[in-house]
This record gives sequence, structure tokens and C-alpha cells, in this order.
Amino acid sequence: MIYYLLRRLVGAAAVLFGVVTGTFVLSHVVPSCPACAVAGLRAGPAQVAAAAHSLGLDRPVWDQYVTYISGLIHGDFGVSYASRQPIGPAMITYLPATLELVFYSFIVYAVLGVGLGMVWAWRGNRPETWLIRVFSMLGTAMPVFWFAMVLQLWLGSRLGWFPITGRLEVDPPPTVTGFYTIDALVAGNLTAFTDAVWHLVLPVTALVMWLFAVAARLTQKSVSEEMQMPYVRTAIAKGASTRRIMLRHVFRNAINPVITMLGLQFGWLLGGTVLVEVVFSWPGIGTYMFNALQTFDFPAIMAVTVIITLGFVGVNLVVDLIYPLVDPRIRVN
Amino acid sequence: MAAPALPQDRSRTARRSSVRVLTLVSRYWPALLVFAWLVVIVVPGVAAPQDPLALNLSNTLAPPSAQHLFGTDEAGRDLWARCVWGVRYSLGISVLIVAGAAVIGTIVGGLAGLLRGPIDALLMRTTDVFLAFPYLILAIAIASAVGPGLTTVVVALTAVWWPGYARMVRGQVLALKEQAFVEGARAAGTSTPMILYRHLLPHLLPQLSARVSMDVGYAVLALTGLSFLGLGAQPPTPELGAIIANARSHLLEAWWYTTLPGLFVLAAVLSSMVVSDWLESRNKSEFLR
Repeated sequence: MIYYLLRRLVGAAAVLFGVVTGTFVLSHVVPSCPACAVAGLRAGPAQVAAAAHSLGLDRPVWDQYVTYISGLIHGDFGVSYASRQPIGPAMITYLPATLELVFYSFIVYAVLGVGLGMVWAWRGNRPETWLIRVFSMLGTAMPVFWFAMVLQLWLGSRLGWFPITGRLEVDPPPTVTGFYTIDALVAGNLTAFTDAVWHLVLPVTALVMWLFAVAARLTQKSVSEEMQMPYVRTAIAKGASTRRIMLRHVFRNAINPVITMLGLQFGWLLGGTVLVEVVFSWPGIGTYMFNALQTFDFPAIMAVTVIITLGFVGVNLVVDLIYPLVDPRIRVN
Repeated sequence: MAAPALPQDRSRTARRSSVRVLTLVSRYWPALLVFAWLVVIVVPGVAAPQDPLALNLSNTLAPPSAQHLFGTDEAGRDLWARCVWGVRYSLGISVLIVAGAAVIGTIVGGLAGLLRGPIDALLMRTTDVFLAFPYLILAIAIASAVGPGLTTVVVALTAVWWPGYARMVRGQVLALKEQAFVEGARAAGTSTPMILYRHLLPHLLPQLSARVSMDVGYAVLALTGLSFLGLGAQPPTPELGAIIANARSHLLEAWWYTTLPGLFVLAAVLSSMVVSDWLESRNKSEFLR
């Protein structure tokens, strides 16, 4: 058990090292002339050299690498080429918006995906599950940014049910967590709370619709395979209720692959949030990354890449640590 | 004496052959689907006679009509034509990307599985690092470093996609290499690459083909996503993601501009899912035979 935990931790550390090295190579080695992007289109060789010097781009690569790594360890993401401001504080302003969006999307997605997947497995391919099947097929096949724009156009603009962009129209509540919904509740500001929830509806719908199918289909497959097992027949013969069989017997055995998948999907969610944030002008790190892309602001792009990947590796590590809790078989081996 | 029966017979064979055509179509219709998309990719002009790049500034943002099925965009270009040509870029390039990734992944995964030892460990740790990134984020990072353009997107997405194939192929190779026919080939002095190519590849192909056709759909989504962010096709190239990105500035005035091009992406991805399901069911039935 301890060996299992240690192995996972060492593995995650090794992967993180690889990730950080990878982003360094992408931001410092691959671009032919990062200083040119900083100096601007009309800069002459002298200005480019000056820009390279002020950003430390003229030093040897290994030296830059050491500076980069030690900076990251101290939470220093470097200086943005575009704004010449440190990136760390900018991340702290933008991150809560993304986290709020991802958090609610993930919860809705996990509950809907796993729940409807179980219904699907339980009822089979009958007419009443038709809607689940159609939605799961369409959801996977739609480009998430397009669906977000369609929601924005038809539900937001044409029908006027939901706001089209942003997080809030009223004054934001005083910052406690950075989640407007929670901050508004803490401040007892119901207007801000409903407004924040209202702004979340469309982006969350887009993200959930996009991922929903994977959870539903995998849960359905896992649960219906488990339902074929002899122990289910025994439980039925002993007179256990359907509810008890599904929740106490089948679900606990079928949940393992679902948990792995939820962890992986979290990474997709972090990627997809960039596209959805851009559509809804959601002031998170996705929009920040999009703006950085327009100016080839490599340190900013890589900072977002590192943060999102850190989150992804972290979640997958947590998933690995949850396994032994939900499945005694892993605890023994 | 058999003469009176003849016309009846003929009608029966006619009915039989039409039934046969129908069964063939019902059994192989996903192949027809692939063929239809191939036609659109190779000769888009067949489905869209209008020029996707022809400007007409007197007819900008016109709603769908008999003349312009999907309406026109902000430069008066026919949207139907742009979408059909967009399929060539979005779907055609996705096929290239996934094919490239499958080849690289098969070679790396196959060698890792056959050679084992330190090479295996090195290759698999490399795939671990690639798979540690959310794929879209890694593709964005690579594409931004190389600089925007369609070639960039091909590089970025191939880099993102091959580790998945390497993992899958390695697993299969590990299971297959214990079989007697591999041992026999090795005893006969066959080289490792040759064992991979001649003896293992035929066993890998059924699963690979189902996965490739599925991934083509996902690649279309990723490619249009990168283009949407401005990293892929540059104007005026009619690529579906880039078209939808342009539509953002006209979201409220031209519903068709946003809504209709996405249907092409949807259709392409749905087709890839259908074909993948079909290939998979064929694999299964071959096992049963």
C-alpha cells in the first residue's frame, strides 16, 4: 500500500519534471526569435538585441533553463513579453474565474454523466433512453466553441434568456474565494448570486454537453457488464430491491474505470475551457491565454500551460490515491 | 415446355438482384459514406460549383437563398462553397494527422514492446510526459511556439496524438510476442522491424483502423478548435474552424454564418463515429467466425 503510494508520487514528480522541461523547450528553444516578437515588427537589429538582453534571452540555454526552473519552484512565472508585468499576479486574478467555471461544469458533468449512464445501463436501449443516446452522440460530435456560439446566439441573443458574455453585470461582491457565487452568498448579496449563476448557465451547458457522452457511455458499459455477473442474479434471487442491487452491489464494482475517466476528463475540461472562455469573454486564464496567443507572448502562454497541466497531473494523482479508498482489492495488492 | 415459366423467373431474379443491392448497401453504407467524403475532399467543385474565394462586396452577409444555400459572409463569398472547401482542409488534414500519428505510434510502440529493456522504459516515459498534458493545451503550446499556420497544426496535433497509439500498440505487441509464430520467425532469423511489419502488423490492423476512424473525428474537432483560436488556417483559406472564428464578429447580425458551418463539422465527426462503430462490429463478427 505504501509502496503503491510512493510509486504514484515519484511517477507524478517525474512527469512534472518532463512537463516543465517540455514547456521550456517550447518557449525558449523552438521559437526562432522570441525577442523579435517582443521588440515588435518595426524593430531593427539593435532593438531586438536590447529586448533579448533585457529578458535574458541572450544568455546560454542551460543558464536560462536553471533560471526558469528555480523561478517556477518559487512560483515565479517570469515576465510577460507583452505587458512587461510579472505573470504570477496576473494568474491569481484570472484563475478563480476559470476555477469557478470548471468546478461547476465538472460537478454537473459528473452527476449527469454517471447518473444518466446508470439509467441507460439499467433500462437498456429502450425508447426512454433514446434522448440520452442522441444527446451523447451529438455532444461528442459538436465542436464545443461552435455549440457555445449557437447557445449564445439563440438562447442568449434571440430569446434573451441568458446573458451573452462575462461573469457578472452588477458590482462584484467583496473577494473571499474569488468564486462570485460563493462570495455573493457570504456577503448575503442575493442579486449578485442569481446574476452570477445566470452567467454560468450557458458556458457550463456548453462544456457539459461536450463531455457528457464520455461519462455516460463508459458508465453504461461498465455497469451493464457488471449487471451480467452471477452475484447480481444471486442478489435478485435473495430478494434484494433493484435500488439496493444497483447502488450497493453493481455501482461499487463498476465505479473504478469511471473514476479514472473522470480524472482524464478533467484535463479535457481544462483544455475545452479555453475555447469556451474565448466565446463568452469569460475573464479566466483561457481568455488570458488567447490574448497572449495574439502577441506571441510565450512566457504567458507557457505559464497557463504549466498551471493547467499541474492541475491535471494533480487531479490524476488524487484519482490514484482515491482508488485504494473505494476499492479494497487495490489496498491488498 | 419451360417457356411459360421464363418471364416469372426473370422477374424473380430481378427482384433478387435488387434485394442483393439493398443488402449490400445496408451492410456497407458506412463505406459509401467514406467514399462520399473522399469525393468532397478530392473534388470539392462537384458539390460546390461557386468559387469559395470570390468576393462580392455588393452582396455581403446575405441570408440563405436559392442562389446562396448557406448565405454569404462579410465579403460576399458563398458560404456553402466555403464550407464544402472547408471540408477539404478540416477533414483532409485531420486524416493526414491521424494517419501520421498512427504510423509513428505503431513504430514506437511496436519497437518498445518487442525490444523491452531501457529503450522501452525511455519511450514509455516519453509518452507519459506527452499524455500528462491536456491534449488541447499541449497542441496550443506547440502551435504557438512554431508559429501559426496549417503546417504548424499538423505538427502540433501529430505530436499530441502519437503517444496514444504507441501505448495501444505496445500493449497489443506485448500480448502477441509470446505467441509461437513470433518465436518461430525469430528462430528463423527475421529481424525485429521485419517481425513487426510482416508478422505483427496484420494482427494490429483491425483495432488500429477502428481507432483511426474514431480519431479522425476528434482530430477534426481539435483542428477546428486550433483554427478557431487563430493558430491554424489563416485567411482567406476556407477552413471550418477559421470560418466559425470569423463568424464571431457577426454573431448577432447573421445567424446563418455561425450556425450553418458547424453543421459540416458535426456531420464529419458523426460520420467518423459511424465508420468506427462499423469497423469495430466487423472486427467482432470476424472473431466469431
